[in-house]
Amino acid sequence: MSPPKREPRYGNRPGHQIFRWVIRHLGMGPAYKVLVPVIGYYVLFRPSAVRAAAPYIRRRFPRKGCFQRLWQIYRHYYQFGACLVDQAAAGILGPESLRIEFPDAEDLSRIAREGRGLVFITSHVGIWQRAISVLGFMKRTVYLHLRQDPSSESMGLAEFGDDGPRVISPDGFLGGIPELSSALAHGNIVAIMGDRGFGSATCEKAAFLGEDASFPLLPYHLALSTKSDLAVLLTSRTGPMRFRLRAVTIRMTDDWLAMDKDAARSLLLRRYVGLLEDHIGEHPYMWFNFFDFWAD
Amino acid sequence: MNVELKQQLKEMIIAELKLTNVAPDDISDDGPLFGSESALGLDSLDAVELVVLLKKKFGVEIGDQSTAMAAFASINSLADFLSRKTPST
Repeated sequence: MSPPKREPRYGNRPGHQIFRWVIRHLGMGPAYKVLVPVIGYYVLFRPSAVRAAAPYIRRRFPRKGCFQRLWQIYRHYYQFGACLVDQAAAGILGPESLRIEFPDAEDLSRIAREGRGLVFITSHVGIWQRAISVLGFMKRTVYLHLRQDPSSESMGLAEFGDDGPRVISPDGFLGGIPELSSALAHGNIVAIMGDRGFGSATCEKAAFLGEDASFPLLPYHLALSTKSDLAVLLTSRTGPMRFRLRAVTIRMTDDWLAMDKDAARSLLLRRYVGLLEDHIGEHPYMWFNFFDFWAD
Repeated sequence: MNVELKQQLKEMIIAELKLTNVAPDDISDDGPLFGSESALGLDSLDAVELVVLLKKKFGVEIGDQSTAMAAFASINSLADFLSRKTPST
């Protein structure tokens, strides 16, 4: 069992309102420019912000000096801020203003038509929550295993109303497992974070950027137990209001189902971690877990 | 209460959840199956197994938290729940 991990919260309501005002009245360019001093302030004057980003940056960019590392932390937070600005803009200008390229859409549609359950493994990369919302073309109900907090609204879930993803809370008795199992049994889609376990999630250690870190086992166990396919979803920001969504599917074939479940689960976890490492190798400033992910 | 069904449930839980050093008699009829007060030490992955197993063996779906809380309160509750949902048991 892993303790709940908490990230520091940055920004406040007046700050968000200023960004919204700038987006609405001055446009996107000025909004990105406002980010520059804001992120600079956090990096230079808020040691907690540096401490929160440092464990990842240190492992992703080993052997760098103090000033280079500070510059990388600045770039890391800038990308995070730019993703938030893009999502806020999508809320103001409409979801269609956000361009999400999704080359694997046809493959996923084909798998969805087979009628089996599908477990999406999401990660804290890019605009992962909003990316889920573009899966409507699969004509299946999407359930997000997600702890809801006020920031969820700004991540773009609220505006989709009844047509959007439904949220299953990981809090409470059994952490939403009956609902997740039922959704998969009825051939629906569930999306679960692969790089953070909620509450009392059962985790396993796997080598990630050279050191062991804990990852939740729930997505793999659910897929194996309900014979559902898996798809690892990864997003990256390719430019202002532009994102690319990638899905790597792992079909739950008889080979997987014939294996010892614990061994299959571990193998699937390691495959996911490898894909995540490849993704952040390509997009180093796109992983937004701002805490010491490697700490016990 | 259906004694046979309770025994069957205990044996099923031990076998399918691979509980070692636990005999059916060790599982109390009225103790909780999950949570900090449970003597079984079941975790969230065991919950997945049990939910899927009940669907497969008894055709019964536990699809929400309130149903799960009532059904998994104890072996007695689970047997009672299954008896109501599947009259043939």
